[in-house]
Amino acid sequence: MTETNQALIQITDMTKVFYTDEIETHALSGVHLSVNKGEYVAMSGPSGCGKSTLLSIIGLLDTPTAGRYFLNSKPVENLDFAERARIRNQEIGFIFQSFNLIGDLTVYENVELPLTYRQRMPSVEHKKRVMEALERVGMAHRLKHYPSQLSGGQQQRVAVARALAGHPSILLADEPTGNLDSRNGEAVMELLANLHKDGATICMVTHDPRFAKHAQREIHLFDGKVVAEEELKKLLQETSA
Amino acid sequence: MRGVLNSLLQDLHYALRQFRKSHGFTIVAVLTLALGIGANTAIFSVVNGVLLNPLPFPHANRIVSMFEATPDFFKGSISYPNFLDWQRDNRSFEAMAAYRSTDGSITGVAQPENVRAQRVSANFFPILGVNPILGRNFTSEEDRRGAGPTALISEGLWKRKFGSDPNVIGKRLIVAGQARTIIGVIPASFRLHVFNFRTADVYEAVGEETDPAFYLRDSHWNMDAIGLLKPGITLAQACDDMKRVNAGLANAYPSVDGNVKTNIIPLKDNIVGDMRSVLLVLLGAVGFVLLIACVNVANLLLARSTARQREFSIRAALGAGQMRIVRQLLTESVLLSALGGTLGLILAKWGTTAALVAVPETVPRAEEIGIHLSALLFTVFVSVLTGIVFGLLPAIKMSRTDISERLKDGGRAISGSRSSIQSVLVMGEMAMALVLLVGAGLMCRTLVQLWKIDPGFDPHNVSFFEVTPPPSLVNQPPDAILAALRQISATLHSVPGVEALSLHDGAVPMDHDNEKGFLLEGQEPPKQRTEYFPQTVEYTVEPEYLKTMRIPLLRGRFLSDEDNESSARVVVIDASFAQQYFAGQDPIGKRIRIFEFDSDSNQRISVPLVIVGVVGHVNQWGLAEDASRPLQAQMYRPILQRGAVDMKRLARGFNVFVRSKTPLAPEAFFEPIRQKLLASNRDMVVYDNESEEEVVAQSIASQRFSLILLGTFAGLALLLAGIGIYGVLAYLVGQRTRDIGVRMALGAQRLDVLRMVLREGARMTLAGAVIGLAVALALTRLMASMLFGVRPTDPITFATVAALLCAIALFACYIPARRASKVDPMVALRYE
Repeated sequence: MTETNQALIQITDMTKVFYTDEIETHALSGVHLSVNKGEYVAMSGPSGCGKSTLLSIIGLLDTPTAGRYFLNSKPVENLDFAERARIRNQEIGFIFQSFNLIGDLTVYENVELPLTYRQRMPSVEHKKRVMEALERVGMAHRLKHYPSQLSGGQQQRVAVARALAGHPSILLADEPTGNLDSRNGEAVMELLANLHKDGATICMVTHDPRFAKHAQREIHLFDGKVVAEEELKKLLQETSA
Repeated sequence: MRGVLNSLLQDLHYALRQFRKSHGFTIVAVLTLALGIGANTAIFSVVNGVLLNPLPFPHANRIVSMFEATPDFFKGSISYPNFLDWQRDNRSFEAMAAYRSTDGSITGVAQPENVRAQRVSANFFPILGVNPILGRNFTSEEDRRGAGPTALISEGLWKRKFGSDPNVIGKRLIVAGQARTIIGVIPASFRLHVFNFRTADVYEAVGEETDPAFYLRDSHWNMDAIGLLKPGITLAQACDDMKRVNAGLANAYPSVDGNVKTNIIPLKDNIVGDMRSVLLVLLGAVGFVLLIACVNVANLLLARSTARQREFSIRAALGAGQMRIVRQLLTESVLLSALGGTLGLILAKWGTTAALVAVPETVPRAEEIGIHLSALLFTVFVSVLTGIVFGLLPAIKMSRTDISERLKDGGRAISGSRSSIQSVLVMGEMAMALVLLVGAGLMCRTLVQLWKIDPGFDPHNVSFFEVTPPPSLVNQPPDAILAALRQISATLHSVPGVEALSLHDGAVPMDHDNEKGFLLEGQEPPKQRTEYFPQTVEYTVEPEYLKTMRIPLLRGRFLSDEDNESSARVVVIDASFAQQYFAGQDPIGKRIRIFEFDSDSNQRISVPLVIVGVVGHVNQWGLAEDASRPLQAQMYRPILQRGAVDMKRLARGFNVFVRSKTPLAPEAFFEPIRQKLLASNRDMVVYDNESEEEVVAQSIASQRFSLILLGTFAGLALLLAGIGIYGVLAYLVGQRTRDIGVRMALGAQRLDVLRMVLREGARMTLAGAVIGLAVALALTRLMASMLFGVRPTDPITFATVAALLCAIALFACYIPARRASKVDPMVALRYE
């Protein structure tokens, strides 16, 4: 119980089953996971192992079929849509593989977007937070640009700024370097590392071991289960054989 | 050439395959285009039949209508002696012919019946280029006073009454009690409908009239004329020439013709009348409907083009040039519009028939309206043009696709296009729909205003019909005629269900007019006349007329049974008469003088009438027109106090107004009355029963016609605009599913998303509404002549219509907005 109170994320015996016609797919099977405040965790595993599903549930984009999920010591697995949206807005910052910036909005507007969904935040505060976040990622000079006018690396930095602007409890990054070349990928990883140094809690999905090494802790998933690194290697060898 | 043809066939083949593949899109697009093209074809066929087609007469562009203009009537009837002088003294006309309607009661052949009959000059049919299919036209000898009675009959009557007998020429036909020799048969193809002339079954020579009153220069027997201009003579030259002729008449007959004028207008204008402006407004309205349909299909194609960008990028990568891609897409769009045009043609055929049935006798030359060759060519032209108009924009957009970008597996950022073209198109169609809705709204308000007008009588349960007494009555002395009229009145009173009735002659409210000149007490007719006698509408009725029509009595008394042939001549005037000529005085007991023809002295004599009562004003000229007509004064005289000449006329026929005790279908009430009268005398003809409610409704038929069509088109426009904004928003929502997913991932609530999409729709709607209001403000003044009691810029109509459009548009937006708010962010973010 003590551990639960200290952990930012506490997941117990979580399963996620997808039903397609009459086929059941177990994306997650009895996952236990705990992430403490200020921790930088990487989740890795082969394609289809369930890491993105787990990240979606952590990010309250999806709900588990069974199991418990505490975020900041509060149970969140059975919240309704509106409450989940509110928590996503206030507690979670997302960084996607394909950036998911909105093409119609300028850099400034994209970063401001999560703040516009908050009630009673004055526009002065919006501006302050947006500028802080953009300066943090080194994109303050591109306020009026549209995403299409930026390089991939720049777009991802803007996406990071957007995730930071809401001052979330945790940053969730889903393959943040997946659409970037190695140079830009490294730059983004460095940015995340700096954020972590400054106290941010980060949970990142990656299939690239080079980037996973940036995290403090690496969690391996295989067939919807959390496994140890050695066990994963063995399983992978068996599969390839 | 062969290569081009082959590739065109290939394009057609591919287009058909595309349509089959996306049958939902094809059905919506074809239906939308069918509605737009169909509405245009329907209205074009009406415009073509009524306005564009030449009249079916050989020298149609030289034929004019002629009237005697007076201060009260622009199209006043002509006195026969004046007409003869016009005919003789003019230098501009090849020929001139007079016409007027007459009694067409046919007796002596099987069941007595009433048919339409016209009296015409001998050269009436030659002017129109109409030749009898049997026999001949009238000769000038037959068109003279006292000439042996002859008749031309219609092809229809020839077939019906004479079994198409080829030897019908020379046979006898009894019309209005007079035996006539048939001299010719007029073909069924002859049709002419103008005021005072309807295609008839019997034609008699106008000049054979024996009544001496007809030949008085100040006698106007509802007669108009047509003229055939000499080749090369313009309308203005003819008008100048007639001024010269009339100056001669003014010199010769200063007391009667001192101020005579001739009004000449092209026959076609006389036939078409006010319908020209109505049809042009409707043509503009359907043009808008077609534009809206084009915008909708263009938007559908733009949406579809996004899905096909990859296909065309591959084509371009394989060597297709920009023009080739444009051509292929235009082939598809023109084929689509051709399918829409074909279906539209069927809708037009059905719609035109339905519209003409819904409001019969409102549209002139209705028999010439149809989907003829010109309408077919119009449809083909509009279809091809439509295909190019709505297809060009998407085709150009598609041909400019960035190939390398599209061939990649998705861009790095979400597509940023806000589909501004589509938004602008939607604003355009919203604006056009609003203009049409304002037009329909103004017509609706016009009808409401018209229905609010008190006609001055209660038309419910009142009908009127015509009675032609036995032909022998005409030759009886006035006493015998009076006795017969009393007998007919008594017979009618014995019919069960009759609450009140009145025999009637003269003007009929909202149906036909009858004017009478009069002088106030002490007023002398001017010797050198440059002004007209004061005029009043004259109704000749029985005492029960007031009860029958429920006209309010304001002062004094109405006519009574004591006001008969042996008592002092009396008259009841209406409130307008009292206001105009006795303002601030009590008119009761005052006298006026009228002038009646005296057959003994063969001239008009002065007849004094004592005013005994004042009744409410009755709407004489129709709900829409009454207030604008200069002639408002009305008077009622007892039928039993008419002079000997008028008695003869009553013996030829009169009206009967009847009020039933309970609401009954006019025909159900009429039949027992007809049977009762026929039982009293088999030679009587009882016909043309009409309910007063129908007459009142008919007086605003033109406005109803405009409302029905404008309302239909506006409804269509609203539906298409609603579908249009729905389509664009649904497309935008589909295209922006990932955007929405991102927003939700960032914490947007469902309501935020709902608001966002609705805001998008509201932005387009409001912009369209503002543009539409501005355009409507500029355009509705074109329909000012069609409106009544409402200004073309009526703020209530504008506000109501704008609110209605916005409400419907927002409802259309709500559906995709709700769908957007249901987006699952998980699914949306996987969406690629």
